[in-house]
Amino acid sequence: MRIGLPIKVVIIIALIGLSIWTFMRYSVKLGLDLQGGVHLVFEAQDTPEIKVTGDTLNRVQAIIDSRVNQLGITEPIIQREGERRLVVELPGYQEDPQSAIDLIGKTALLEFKDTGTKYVEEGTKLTDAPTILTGADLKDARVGYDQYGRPVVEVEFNPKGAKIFAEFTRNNIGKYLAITLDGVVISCPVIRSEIPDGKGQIEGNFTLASATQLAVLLRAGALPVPLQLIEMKRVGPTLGKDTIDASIRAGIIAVILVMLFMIIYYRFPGIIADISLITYVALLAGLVSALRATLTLPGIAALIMSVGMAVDGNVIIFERVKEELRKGKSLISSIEAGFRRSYAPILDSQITTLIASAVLFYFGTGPVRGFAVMLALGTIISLFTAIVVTQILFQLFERLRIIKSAKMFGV
Amino acid sequence: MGYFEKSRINIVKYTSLWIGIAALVIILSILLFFTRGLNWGLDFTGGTLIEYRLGKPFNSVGEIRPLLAEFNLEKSFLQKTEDNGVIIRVKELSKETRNAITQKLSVHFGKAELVREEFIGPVIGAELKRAAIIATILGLIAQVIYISLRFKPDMALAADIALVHDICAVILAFILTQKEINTPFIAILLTVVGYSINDTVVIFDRIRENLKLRPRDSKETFPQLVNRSILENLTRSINTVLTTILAVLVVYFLGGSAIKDFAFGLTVGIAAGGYSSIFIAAPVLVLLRKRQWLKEEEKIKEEETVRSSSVNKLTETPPKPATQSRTSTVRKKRR
Repeated sequence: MRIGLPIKVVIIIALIGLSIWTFMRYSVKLGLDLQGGVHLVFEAQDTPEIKVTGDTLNRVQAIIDSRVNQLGITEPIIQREGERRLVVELPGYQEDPQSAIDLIGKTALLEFKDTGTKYVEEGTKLTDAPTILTGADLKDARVGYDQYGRPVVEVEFNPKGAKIFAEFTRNNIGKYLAITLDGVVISCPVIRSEIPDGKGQIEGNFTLASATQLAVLLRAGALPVPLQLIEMKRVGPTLGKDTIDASIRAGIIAVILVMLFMIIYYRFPGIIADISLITYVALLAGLVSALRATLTLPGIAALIMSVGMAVDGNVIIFERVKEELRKGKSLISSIEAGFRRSYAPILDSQITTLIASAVLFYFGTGPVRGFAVMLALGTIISLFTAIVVTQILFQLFERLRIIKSAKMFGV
Repeated sequence: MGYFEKSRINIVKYTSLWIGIAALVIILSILLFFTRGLNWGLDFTGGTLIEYRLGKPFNSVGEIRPLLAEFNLEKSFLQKTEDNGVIIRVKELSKETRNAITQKLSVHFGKAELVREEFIGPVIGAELKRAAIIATILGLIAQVIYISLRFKPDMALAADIALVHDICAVILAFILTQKEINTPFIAILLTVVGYSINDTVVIFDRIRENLKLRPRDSKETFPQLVNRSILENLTRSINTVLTTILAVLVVYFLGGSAIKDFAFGLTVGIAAGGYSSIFIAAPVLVLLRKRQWLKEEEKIKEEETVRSSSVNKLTETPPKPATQSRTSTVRKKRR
């Protein structure tokens, strides 16, 4: 069954409309480099007890996930990269990146240690004292205030922890208990009485912010292995915004220049190529937003560059048509032959670009991956517009008797 | 006939010149790579980078250097960017020092907005270099396989030589300008790989087609045929390179400071890719097939002499073996 020309034209117009609607409705998802925010890469470290495995990393990811949720960031990304890395992206995060690093990267192993009659200064490293309980035995942790109104962290043990805690406090009244976070003492209170209900307070010279952070860390739990920060990138909101503004302008100018070039060089067929190019831009915008593909800085360059490459198909076709005309063929059969003989070179050449973007996608991260995606999308859509849309336009103008003579091709 | 076909330019004739130029680019880039070297950016070297946008214009980074003296950072790598921006690159930077620098700069320049901050661990850089090399080589191999499948292995080889030239040209441009290279550099290399092959493929496609359409008794030699194919395709080659470069140049001039270097690399790569398909890939193919077409030409001559001698002898049937062998060579080409 052959689809009639009017239906084809309607389908194309509908596609353009749908693309514009999608673009308006969903807008484009911006990468961190354009939107601003913090990009962190952590690497899990082996400990004498635990070797990092996929399973360990899964646990780390879950804990970080719940920590990041406390930051109140929309659409944070936490994903594994390779065997022992985690990538954390916090779009729009404008605080000091260090506080995000502290929150995410801290092991947050809370330990209650028996130091007997010895008081241990806050801030000292304590490794040898026996551990009574750890953060794993906690049920909840919240910010509270002591009788002087200073922020503290209120903790509540689970039943098992509460039992151990009650027993220990009953047997050690008058002695010291050291509370350590990642091996460093944050508080060393005297045990005044038995604590039977499993509820306690950590007083450690907190500010409201640091108490809140500790509570968050304790609720989310300690990481099974320590993390090391190996990459941090923070982009302020201005840099991205400036780039977007400049790129939109550059993109529009590029489209206009390419369109002018096509009209000046090819005259009437140039106009057809330009209509195809506008279709290309509309479809590209629609597809990029429909697929929720992330637009990055290099991705913008790829998009603008693809405008120049998109007309390549048309150039190949037009040159072919001209050749056929010079051989003395009729206009209609020249156009038909021109298209037919252009398929192979157009396909071959675009596939090579797709191969390059596939390799790039596989090896690249972040912005480079964004570039690869845009390049591939642009290539695929340009295949459609250069071949299908252009051909439909030719048929349409032929039918409307707008294309009349070979002169229109400058032959 | 089109403009270029009429012009009868003989590109293939100067094959040794084009290959000489290509060899020069390749050798020079390798030589300079090891002597002058590339300006590896933070992504490759590791370290810390902060970028400020200052409230007042300044002439050179020399004005900022003394301000960093109290942090012992006056010898750091400083770079002026557009819009009164400055990039400071150091090995390590504590949160406190960074805040103190921000404070100092904002007092001095009225405003100092920290627009970018990056820390890259030393492992990442080494990994990235490896990834860049592997990705480029893999890209080359993938293209060779594709062209071997769609065309002929010797065409793949010719295209690959052109590709190596293009990659070297981009690297050379970055060595000469000492522009900093970062992760997107990999994207430049791979795009150039894709673009250059794209351009070459269209010419090879034409060569293949012309070989197919060549009449059996054609007097046209293989070099002449390649030259004709190049000329027939020249308008397309030039126009495509022009429109693409036009677009990338707009990005270079108007796209903002952040993608300037990226656009620069693409421009060089696309120009090199366009040049190499015409002046390297096709002529190299002629060289690679030299033996084949010389033999073929000999056969044509042989046949002619045989034919003319047979005419002299008034024999009616032309000698069979010669014709057969010639058909077989032609058929080989036709695929």
